[in-house]
Amino acid sequence: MNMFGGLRMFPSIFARLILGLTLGTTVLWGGAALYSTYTSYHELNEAFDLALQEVATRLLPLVADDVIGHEDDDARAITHFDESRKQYLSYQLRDPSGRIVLRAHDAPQLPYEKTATPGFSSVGDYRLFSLTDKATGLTITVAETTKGRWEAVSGAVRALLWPLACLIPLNILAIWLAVRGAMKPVLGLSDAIAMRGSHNLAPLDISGQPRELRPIAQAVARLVERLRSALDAERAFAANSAHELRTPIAGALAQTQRMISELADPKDRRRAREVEATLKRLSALAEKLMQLSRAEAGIGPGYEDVDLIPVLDLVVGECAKRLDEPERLVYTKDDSASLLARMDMDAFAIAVRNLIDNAANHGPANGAVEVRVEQGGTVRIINGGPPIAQDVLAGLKQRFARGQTRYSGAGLGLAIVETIMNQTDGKLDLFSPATERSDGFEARLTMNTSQTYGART
Amino acid sequence: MRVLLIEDDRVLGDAVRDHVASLGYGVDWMKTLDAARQAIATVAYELVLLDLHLPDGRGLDLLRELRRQGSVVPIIILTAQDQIASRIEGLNSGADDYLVKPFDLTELSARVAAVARRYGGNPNPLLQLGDVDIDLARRFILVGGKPVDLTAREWAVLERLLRHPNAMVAKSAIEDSLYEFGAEIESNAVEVYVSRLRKKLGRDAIRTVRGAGYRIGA
Repeated sequence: MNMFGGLRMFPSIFARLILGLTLGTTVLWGGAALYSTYTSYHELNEAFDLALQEVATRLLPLVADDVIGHEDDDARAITHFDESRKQYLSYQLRDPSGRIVLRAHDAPQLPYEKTATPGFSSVGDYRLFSLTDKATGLTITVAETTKGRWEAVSGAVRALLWPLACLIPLNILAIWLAVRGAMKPVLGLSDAIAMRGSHNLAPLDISGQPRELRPIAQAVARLVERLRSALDAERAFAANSAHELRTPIAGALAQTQRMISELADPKDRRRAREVEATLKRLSALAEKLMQLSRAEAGIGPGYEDVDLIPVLDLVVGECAKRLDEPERLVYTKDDSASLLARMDMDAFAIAVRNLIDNAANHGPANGAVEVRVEQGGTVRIINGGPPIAQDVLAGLKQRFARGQTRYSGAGLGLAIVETIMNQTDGKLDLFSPATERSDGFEARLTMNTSQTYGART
Repeated sequence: MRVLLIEDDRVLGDAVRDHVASLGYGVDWMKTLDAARQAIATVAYELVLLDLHLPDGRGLDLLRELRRQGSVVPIIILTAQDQIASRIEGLNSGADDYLVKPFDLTELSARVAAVARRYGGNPNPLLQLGDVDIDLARRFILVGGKPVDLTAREWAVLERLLRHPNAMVAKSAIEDSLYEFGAEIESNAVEVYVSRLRKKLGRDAIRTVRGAGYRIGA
């Protein structure tokens, strides 16, 4: 597996770039350091060899001069004056027979090699240079311990590597900062796209994108726009279908009611009333199915923040007019309550209307229906009546679920409200008994007032 | 009260026209905006029932036109569109009320009566004239504590007079409220209905302003 294949283990481009660039620069720096070490070693060896040769060349006439006249003496060791310092160089002076006639105090008593090799040679731990004086036949061998050379080389390598070792973390930091800066537009675009979905199709801001990202940003913006158009068309179709369906039902209902008022025979009137009741049920069911269809078309989220209080005022007013006793509807608002949310006004109206209708139809006849707007984007709709069993309450949001009620509804209202609230990251909670009461039923809408939606599709 | 109904659906329009007429109001039914404009130009309507989707345009355009011209005629929108934005647009354009189809004819009656009362300067549906108690919303009358039945035409005359209690109402204005556009009007029709009302409510309930019209009130 190559390095880039290995990087695939990391799902983040950010991590891949950091790791790849860090590894790359470290390997390159390591290679450069090795080459430098190799070169330094050779250059230092050459320098040391030159020094060895220079020492031999300078030392030979001096020691030869010192030895002449004392050829028969035993071999002597030259005393060194400062023995506290570490010594790397030593020497031996041999006569033409190979006998050592003079040596440095730290040089071995035996020759470095049996026969001195002219020029450079290496024996054991020594690097040697031998030079013979043609006039006297004396040969000097200057020796240098390889240990000394290695210490010099390793010191040079250490001097090279320490700064590098310190620079690697700084390099990682610099790479991290550079990559983060470069990735910022990518991450911004990624976040903006992640926020989009069928529930949030706000136009994508493509201004200020780098040249490399602009085609992607433009393509996504076009895609979002097309999706938005398609969804708008679907919503418009659902709304227009509602219009086309309501008019004939309205005509049939109105004609039936006229017929009832004109019929004299009680038997005929009774039959006509049954037709009227059936038409009203059909109308109510069609209305719920149209609402469900619109909810499933993704009607919930809006494209901008909307103050929903005026919508609630309008809906409550209309619901009150439809009641036989409008005073049944008790509407209160906390002074500082706000319902600013990114939600479609019609979706909100459908949700509230369903809950008020439920409360009016399923609560006690002529009992009060309370609509309260409270802080935290909460709307509570409360009616009286005996508490509902918890297992029944838990299933009320299911489609076609009907509680124990005298009212013959379609059982779709709460499912519609739940669908709409889910689309806007809001909540529908049901309580029975109602909060702070020992009886009744409470439906609570909690709006998402943070004005953001997750990327749900 | 003369009512203009603008509705292009034949079945619904027919039923609404008959219902409003049964309440004792004179109704003209137009199926297009053009026809409605011509009718408005010739008759002083006291209420308009307006559909929004018409074959030759949007009802809202007519509504705005009327308000621009300074007309204060009450207008109730009858529409199959239930969008909030559409309602707000309608109400902001000057509509007095908004009724979404399908609706109960009794609900239509209540809205019509409420708007008529509001424009008559007396939004309270409960009135008392001597020993006569009148509930205009429910069309219910007690005379000396006993209920009394009125016909639709008698209600129409009574409501026209009650729109401005104690004020003189011209005989021609009462005639306008009684008959549908183009219908034959008998010369003594108003006198006949006023006479019937006096018999049911009391002789002094309605006073004659000689040569001009009638007045109701204490």
